[in-house]
Amino acid sequence: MNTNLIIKPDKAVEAFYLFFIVHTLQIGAGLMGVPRIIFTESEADSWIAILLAGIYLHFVAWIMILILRKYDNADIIGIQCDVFGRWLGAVLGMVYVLYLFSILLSVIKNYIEVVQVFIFPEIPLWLMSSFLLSLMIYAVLGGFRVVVGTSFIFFLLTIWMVFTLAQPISYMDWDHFTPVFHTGFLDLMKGAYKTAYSVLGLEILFFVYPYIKNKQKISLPVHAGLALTTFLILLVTVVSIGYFSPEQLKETVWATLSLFKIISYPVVERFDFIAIALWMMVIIPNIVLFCWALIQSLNRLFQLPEKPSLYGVALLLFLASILIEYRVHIDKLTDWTSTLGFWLVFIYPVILYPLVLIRKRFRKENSI
Amino acid sequence: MKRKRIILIVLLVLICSGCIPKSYIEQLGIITAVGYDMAGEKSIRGTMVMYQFDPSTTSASQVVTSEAATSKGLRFEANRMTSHRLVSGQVRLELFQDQLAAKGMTRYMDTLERDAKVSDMGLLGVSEVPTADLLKINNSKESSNSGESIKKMIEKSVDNDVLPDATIRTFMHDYRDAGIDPTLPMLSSKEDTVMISGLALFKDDRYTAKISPQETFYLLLLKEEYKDGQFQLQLPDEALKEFHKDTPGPSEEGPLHVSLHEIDSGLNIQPKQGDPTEQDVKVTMEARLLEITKDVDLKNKKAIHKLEEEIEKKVKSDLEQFMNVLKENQVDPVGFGKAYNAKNRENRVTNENWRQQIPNLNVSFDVNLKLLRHGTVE
Amino acid sequence: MEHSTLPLQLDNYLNTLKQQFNESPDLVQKVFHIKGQEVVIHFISYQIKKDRLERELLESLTKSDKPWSVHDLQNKIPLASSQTVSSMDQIAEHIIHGNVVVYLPGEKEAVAFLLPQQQTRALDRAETESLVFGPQLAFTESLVTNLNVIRWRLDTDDLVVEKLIVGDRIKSEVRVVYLKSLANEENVDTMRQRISDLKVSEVEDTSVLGQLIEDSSSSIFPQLINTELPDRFCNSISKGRIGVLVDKSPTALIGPMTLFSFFESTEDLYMRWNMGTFIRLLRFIAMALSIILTPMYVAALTYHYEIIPTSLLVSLGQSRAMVPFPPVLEALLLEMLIELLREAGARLPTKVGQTMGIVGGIVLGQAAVKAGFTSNILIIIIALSALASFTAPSYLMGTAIRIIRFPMIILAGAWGLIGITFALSFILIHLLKQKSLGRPYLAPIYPFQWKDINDSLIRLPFQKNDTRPLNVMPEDTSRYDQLKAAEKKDVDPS
Repeated sequence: MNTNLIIKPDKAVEAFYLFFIVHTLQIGAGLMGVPRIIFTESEADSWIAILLAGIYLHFVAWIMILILRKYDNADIIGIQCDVFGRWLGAVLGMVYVLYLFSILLSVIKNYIEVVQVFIFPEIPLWLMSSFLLSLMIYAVLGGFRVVVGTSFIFFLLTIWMVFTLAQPISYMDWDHFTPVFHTGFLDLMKGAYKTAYSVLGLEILFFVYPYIKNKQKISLPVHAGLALTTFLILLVTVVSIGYFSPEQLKETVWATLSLFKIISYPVVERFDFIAIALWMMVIIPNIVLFCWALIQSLNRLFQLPEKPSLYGVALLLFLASILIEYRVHIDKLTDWTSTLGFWLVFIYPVILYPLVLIRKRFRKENSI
Repeated sequence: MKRKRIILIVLLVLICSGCIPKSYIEQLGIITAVGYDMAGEKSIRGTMVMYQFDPSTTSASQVVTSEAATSKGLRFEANRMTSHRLVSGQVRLELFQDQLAAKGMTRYMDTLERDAKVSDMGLLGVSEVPTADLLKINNSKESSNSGESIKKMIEKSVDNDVLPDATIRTFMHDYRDAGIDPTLPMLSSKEDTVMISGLALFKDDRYTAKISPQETFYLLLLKEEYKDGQFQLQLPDEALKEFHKDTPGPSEEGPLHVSLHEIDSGLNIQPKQGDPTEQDVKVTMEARLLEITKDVDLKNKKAIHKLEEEIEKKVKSDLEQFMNVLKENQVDPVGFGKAYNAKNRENRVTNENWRQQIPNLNVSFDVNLKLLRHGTVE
Repeated sequence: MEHSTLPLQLDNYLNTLKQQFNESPDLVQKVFHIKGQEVVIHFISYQIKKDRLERELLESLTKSDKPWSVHDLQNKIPLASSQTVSSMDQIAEHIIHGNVVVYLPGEKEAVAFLLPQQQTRALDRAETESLVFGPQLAFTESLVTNLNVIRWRLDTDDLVVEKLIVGDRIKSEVRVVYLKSLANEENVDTMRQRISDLKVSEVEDTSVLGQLIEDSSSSIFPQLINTELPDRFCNSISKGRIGVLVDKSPTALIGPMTLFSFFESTEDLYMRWNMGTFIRLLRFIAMALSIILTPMYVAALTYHYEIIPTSLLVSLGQSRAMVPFPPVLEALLLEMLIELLREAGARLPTKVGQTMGIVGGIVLGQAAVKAGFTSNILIIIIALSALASFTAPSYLMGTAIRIIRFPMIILAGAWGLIGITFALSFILIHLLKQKSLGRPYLAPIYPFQWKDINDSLIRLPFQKNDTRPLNVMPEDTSRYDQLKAAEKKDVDPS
């Protein structure tokens, strides 16, 4: 396998779009429930936990860019094979594939769950997942430019929902935040760790890097995307903590969506219904980008042709999404994915970087 | 071409088989207001005001009453009495009879909170008379539905700073938050008219006492929800004697009443470090004099000062009296416990331990009033 | 044919030509004897201008004092357009196109003089894309007239008009028009190649050609603009786009186009910039409403009674209670009614059409509500969305929007808000995948081009609008120097 990829210029995109790629991938199913998860660990000081997680996020992104810059035009699959050799590299590549698949599944499952709880208790599982999967297939078939376009357009069409939070903000109780630094350091770290699931998606950088035209400019959009993600999670969590009483928040599974419940306009009495339906547009870039990365890695690892593997993956996702029915199983899947994602996305790059450095030095000495 | 045909067939199959139960609004009985009454030891009686649309009848709103053990059971029972399927997605008002509310409201409200269909912005209220009677009064001309008119009445009162917020959201928030108790508007009926008779105080989710509209004003003042509204005070008859105008008028006799329009108010609750029962409260008000029943020379600066002082004294004593009411009932609708929690790390107040501490609460008030203007006549 | 090439003797020649024209009675063959020489003249009587034939050709032919030769015919006859032809097929073709062919029996070549008489209408006001404010001229069916108008508007030698012939059986002349110094080479090549690669027997009209060379023919969205306005055509050309004209067709094609250019009207340019921006935004809002409104009604009344504002609930419910159909069916019926009215109005003569509109709109609408056939709120919604769809300056785009509504309504009826979001997402992804002449269809939104937002979504003052649309990839992007354009030359002495 070649470590570096050769990309035709008409397939590549500007670095500017990395902002949307990274951001839309991070914001997805996680944002709907994140306030409760962080609050359970870090209580009133959750915002500190999120800021800590945000800082670490930027650090990981910095490391990832350093790794990628050691190569001309490589993705993670190629880098792993270069560093660990063909076999171990392929095994690690499979871990990525597994991770991408399970995160796809958990995103789809979580969204369907929300729709079933909030709008249509009776909507069949297979119907919802075939909606999402058909849109995913349709977009991924369009190639990388359409995949990026999806994340860009859908971002523009959904970001305005942030402003509707103004209504819950007017109900906030600031007493819930004081006294500051009441939570222990360990609980803060736990909260930061729990933020992980909501901010998974950074790893896409490892896959799209070869497709970026002006590679020297990638830092700014990536970090800006991360900053926006951190800000949104912070906003949603802070508003939730102020809006709910602590005990209530610990019991509210989808706190973000419950915030939407009180928003009403003269033309729409209940905005939460609109928000949940529109949330599909938040989910789509998510699954489209993850699926593209999955297909891409399968193609790189086993030279699988893209169309059949796309259909295959979609079919597997469809079956898996029908088979998992209980809320408990969805939670287990989410937890599992979140743990795997934490190690793969937040810890692994930090380990990989020194290895890449060693490998490069070793190479150089060998070649002399 | 073949693929297109397959896609088309798949789509058709989807549309045919993927249908979900419809809820056409003309086939629904859309409940807009519910009232719960005690029917016996174990059962409750529910009164539902709902819209149901029938081409044959002119009035869209109807009232149904049923008895059951739980609130969902009520709906189930009522469903057997109507031609339309009853749904709760538009419930905007829930009323509880005082006897029922005294037994705890959340067991009836839990379903409200868990059901994603019910809006959190619905209003709650407690009634001194059976809610069935309230909801069956249909005297309002501008509103087609008695639930709707009660809802508008409460909303108006909240907007005019006569009542604290009465939404389900606020009730649940105050109920679950440590160191604060919820309140709800108290309704009553008088000669076939629904009226707000005061404010219901809650101990956790159990109704304990009712306070008068005058006391409600002091609660609002302490909750810093009083931003723009009017209030009346009765001062000692001879308080401003020295400033009375020389020409004695007919209003010379009788008690001294002042009517004020509050423009702005500020509140600062300062709990003592480490002790939630010791609190200092500083209230600052800016007001406009609307009416005074005695001929006082308002050009005189001293008169204004004196008036301010008298009002401050009166407000302070009323507040202290009001605190006694709260202590007697062991309730804390103001949120003194919460105020303490917000500033202290040690000895924190919880829902459990705060209840015992309320009678020991010692609050010292400091009231500061500024009379900025006094109308068009001097 | 055995005698298909010249030279031929007189009888033989006449016979061959007669056969070539299937003994057509319209073919005029006339033999003159001038100075002892036989001169044969051919033409189709209604294809040429008779007075010019007599005045300019016959007079000089007969007045000659020495025998004619082919060379003399070409040089001494005072007609600008003359051509020598040597085969019978060519002669026939020229005669069909309105030439007068003069043959001197025995010679190797005949001479064809172009004296065509075309039945064309005069330049007229635009009908389908009428403007309130701005040039009123529309293209006609005559290619020559159209080219004449374009040349007159784009008065530069930079204008390239390439000639291509399309059609195996019935040939049509196609012209590719662009500005040499502006138009992107790649775009011109794509357009030229797509037209010349066509293997069709005939092309009826510009719009047919447009459908044949489009990037995706399965999409409902048109990818090339079909316009009847020379000012729109020339405006696009001057921004570096490429135009195509087809003979005998009163419209022209322009490409590459973006989705947003279908909502632009040249009127926006003629108005002041703030009005232009307002009207342009109004159109986008109208389109969004047109697509969303009816499906939302269906979704809310079928599934989501919760989202209906309490104040509307009673009036909606009471009017719905009379209607015997589910909301989907009700909406589809009413949408069909509107489409019927539009179609009937379009087919009928103008005067009757107006009456149609009134009868259909007012009488049918009123009666439908009275009879409990539809709810009155739906009538308002449907009328509003129909009205909104007519604001699109491009008729094709307006129709596309109206058609999209039908599947949207069905989806809303089947799955409520989820169905609507699914449909919207699908349309968006579909639009993302579209291309026009290989250029992205959703530009300047994606790929995002900050400078192109101006003059596609909004319109800024001309002083600020200093670049040509970048998605067209013009060879020269700058229109003028911003600072210089802003400079004012006041005569005010102070």
